[in-house]
Amino acid sequence: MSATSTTTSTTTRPGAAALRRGGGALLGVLATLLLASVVSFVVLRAVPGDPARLIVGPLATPDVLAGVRTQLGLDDPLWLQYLRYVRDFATGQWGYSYSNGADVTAVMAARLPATLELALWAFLFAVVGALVVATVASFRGGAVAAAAKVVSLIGLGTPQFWVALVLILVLGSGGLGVLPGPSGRLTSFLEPPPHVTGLYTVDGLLAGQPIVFSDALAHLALPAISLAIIPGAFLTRLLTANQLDVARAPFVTVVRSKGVSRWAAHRRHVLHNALLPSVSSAGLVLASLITGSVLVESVFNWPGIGQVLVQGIQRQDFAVVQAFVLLSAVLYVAANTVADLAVALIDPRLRVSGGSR
Amino acid sequence: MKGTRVQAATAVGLLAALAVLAVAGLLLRETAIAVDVSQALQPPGSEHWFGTDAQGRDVFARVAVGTSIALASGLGTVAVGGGLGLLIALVCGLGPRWLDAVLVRLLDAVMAFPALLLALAVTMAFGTGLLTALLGVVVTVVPVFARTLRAEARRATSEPFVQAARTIGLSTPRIAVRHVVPYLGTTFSVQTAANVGNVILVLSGLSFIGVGAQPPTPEWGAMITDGLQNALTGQWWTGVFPGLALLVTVVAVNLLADSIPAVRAARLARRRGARPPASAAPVVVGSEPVPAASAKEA
Repeated sequence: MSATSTTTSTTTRPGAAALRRGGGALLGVLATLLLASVVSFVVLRAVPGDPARLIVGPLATPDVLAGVRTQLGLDDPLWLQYLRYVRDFATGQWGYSYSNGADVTAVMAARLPATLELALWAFLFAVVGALVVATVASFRGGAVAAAAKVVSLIGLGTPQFWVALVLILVLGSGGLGVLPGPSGRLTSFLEPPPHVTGLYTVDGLLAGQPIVFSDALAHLALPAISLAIIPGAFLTRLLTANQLDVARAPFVTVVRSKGVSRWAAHRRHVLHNALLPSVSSAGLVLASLITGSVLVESVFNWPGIGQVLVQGIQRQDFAVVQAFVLLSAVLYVAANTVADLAVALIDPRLRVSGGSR
Repeated sequence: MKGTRVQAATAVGLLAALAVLAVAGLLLRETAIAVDVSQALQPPGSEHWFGTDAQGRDVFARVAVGTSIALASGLGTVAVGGGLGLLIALVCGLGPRWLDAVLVRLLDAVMAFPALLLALAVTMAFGTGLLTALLGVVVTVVPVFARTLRAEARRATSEPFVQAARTIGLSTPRIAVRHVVPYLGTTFSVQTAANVGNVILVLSGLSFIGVGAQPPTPEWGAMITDGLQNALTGQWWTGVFPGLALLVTVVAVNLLADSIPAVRAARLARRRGARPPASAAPVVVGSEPVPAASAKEA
């Protein structure tokens, strides 16, 4: 995100410039993260409402309430509470559920593989779909490109949770019944495969259980499609615009004038050069996958962290919400940073002059 | 160019239809919450165009009221959030450098949260409901506007007309209001269009997961939550229609936002002869619009 690109240096020695740029970028990211933690602390701790009261319930005696307050450190000054909050978050102690006392970190860790598997497949669908549509649209141009543009605009405006509902109604158990509807990750009579990665499709393959693999994939299909729509539409727009841009570049004319066929030039030169800039939108794609998992998982009864969040919301469970919200910001910033670094590493043009972005 | 005009016309047509629906919604507020259990879960027909829900409420009336809620809250939150963002942008652009640096860092920190989750946190902190959800959404809109407009405001300060205004001794507030704000007008309107759709989506998402509008408010997201319960028993209409209205609204707004830069450039080109259009500010319509754009400024 902007933190990395704010520092542009104009030094002549590329190595030193890159180093200073990297250092500055890292400091910027850290500052952003620290401030983000302040924001989430202020929003969820310092506003009206007493977490201790939520934990003990409305009927508890003042003594019990005071006890819990002390136990949580709510009597300490705010800055001390904040420092403790940052320390706990950084060390992975995300507190205990207000409603049932479960260790939030443990719950999240147990649910993470389900979300990860869903997000990975959705990402795969989105990237493959966007690559195909964007390449065809920018290569053919004209009506095809116009149609692709309209489709991606519609995709960007789609409420994912509603698509989930429609998919269940059409393809799932609410309609044709081609794919399993809202019924979790596996058909109930199947045992989950032996735990290696926690991703049922991968573990199923590793264990040589094709039935588990195909069943897991069938269960994945509808939620993953719902989740893939927004990032897919976003990537389609981006890749189409990038390819149309590159296709106009003089070097493409040169390539063509050397007798390379139009398709070969498009694939080898236009497509390849259009891919790189889209790497820097990795953060946005990740953010949309995180947001989407919150909205989609509960529709499909998918046992991931998005569902934990929604259940936490219904129980007014601030510990869960707080951990999830700050975690999403950390992941988002991290993805942006990694993407920026990756682009800087891959793209030789950014290495030479200290970045012209 | 023709394509853009068709696109803009489609968007305006759809929005006009939605506006009519929203006005109808204002008249149907009573019908939308009138429970009649004997009429529960009627399929769409001549009596109930979109059928009825589990409590026998007319789905069409509820969708219509939902339209007025969505349009009003979408425009309202963007207006408030955009106004606050404009204010911050002016402070950043015309104020002292150190304040600018501090504010930009803070805005970046707020934008580090995915919009839905930030809005969710704010909403939960102040207690669930439509009003707090609106507040939560405003919080996500402010940095988006502030970040984009700030870059423009900074650019304005180096333009001759602002320097001339300084030279003749105008006060900073006067320069801000009379000279910089008009300069930001284009960007502001483009941003407004680009954000309204997104805001409506986030708002319905909040209601969908239960922190936004509470029953019996006929908000689209909340209605889709209701519709889920009827989906597996065959009453598809309770959830499908509100979502369809939501989809059409957001797409119409995004179509409009997408065509604004091109239409404006064309108009400008016509007015000034055949000069090539100044590169219009890039707008990423849809989810999480601005972080991408903000990465490009120095």
